[in-house]
Amino acid sequence: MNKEEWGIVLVILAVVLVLTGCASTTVPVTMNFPQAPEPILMEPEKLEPLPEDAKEMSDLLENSTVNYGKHRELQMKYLQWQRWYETNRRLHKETTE
Amino acid sequence: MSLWFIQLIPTSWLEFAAFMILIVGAVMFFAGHIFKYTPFVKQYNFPLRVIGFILLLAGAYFNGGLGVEMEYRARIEEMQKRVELAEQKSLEANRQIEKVIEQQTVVIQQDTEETLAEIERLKSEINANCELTPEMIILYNRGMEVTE
Repeated sequence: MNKEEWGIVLVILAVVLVLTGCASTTVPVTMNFPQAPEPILMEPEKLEPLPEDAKEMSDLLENSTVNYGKHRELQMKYLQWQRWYETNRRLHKETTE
Repeated sequence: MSLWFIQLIPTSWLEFAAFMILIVGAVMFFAGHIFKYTPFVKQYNFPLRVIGFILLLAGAYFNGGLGVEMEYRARIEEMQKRVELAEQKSLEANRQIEKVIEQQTVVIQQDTEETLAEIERLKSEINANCELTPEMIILYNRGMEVTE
């Protein structure tokens, strides 16, 4: 190889080196998906139907009271789900932006 | 072509290596020029100059790239800290949610128990004037039936 050919080889080598430096620099750190609290992952309780042998008004009231309680528990857990989602969404945004 | 393996090398080693490549390249390159006029070693001048030039190029590239690599490492470190902080905050939020659920469940159950006790106490008055029929029970239960 003469001097000119050597020069071409060196220039090609330099270009390859410079292009290698353009490799992606995405930060390889990811955030794990957050774990939700155990109580809000539990199977929801079903409402109690009024027994077929119920005869008195007080049976109806008792049944309504028990079901209202179950509804309130689910409503409260639903609100906590929303709170959990909002908190983790905000944290994810703060971390990745 | 990826330079991922560079991330495994400590920073001080990288700085030293980049600097040494540059220095060795410069020394070889200029030595090649001097060898051109020196008897006995005259034949080595061209390979020395070529290798010196390549090392000079590589040294310049690595010294320049080192800055980018350091910035990249700083970003990784910062990101790791932010992720750790976010995970801690998330766990703390979970603990608070569990506490709220535990406390409010107790309150709701107490309310239910109190109301049931009140119904039991007033049972005779409540049942005095009204009796449930099977049709009323069916209608009442229809409200909680799940349609699939």
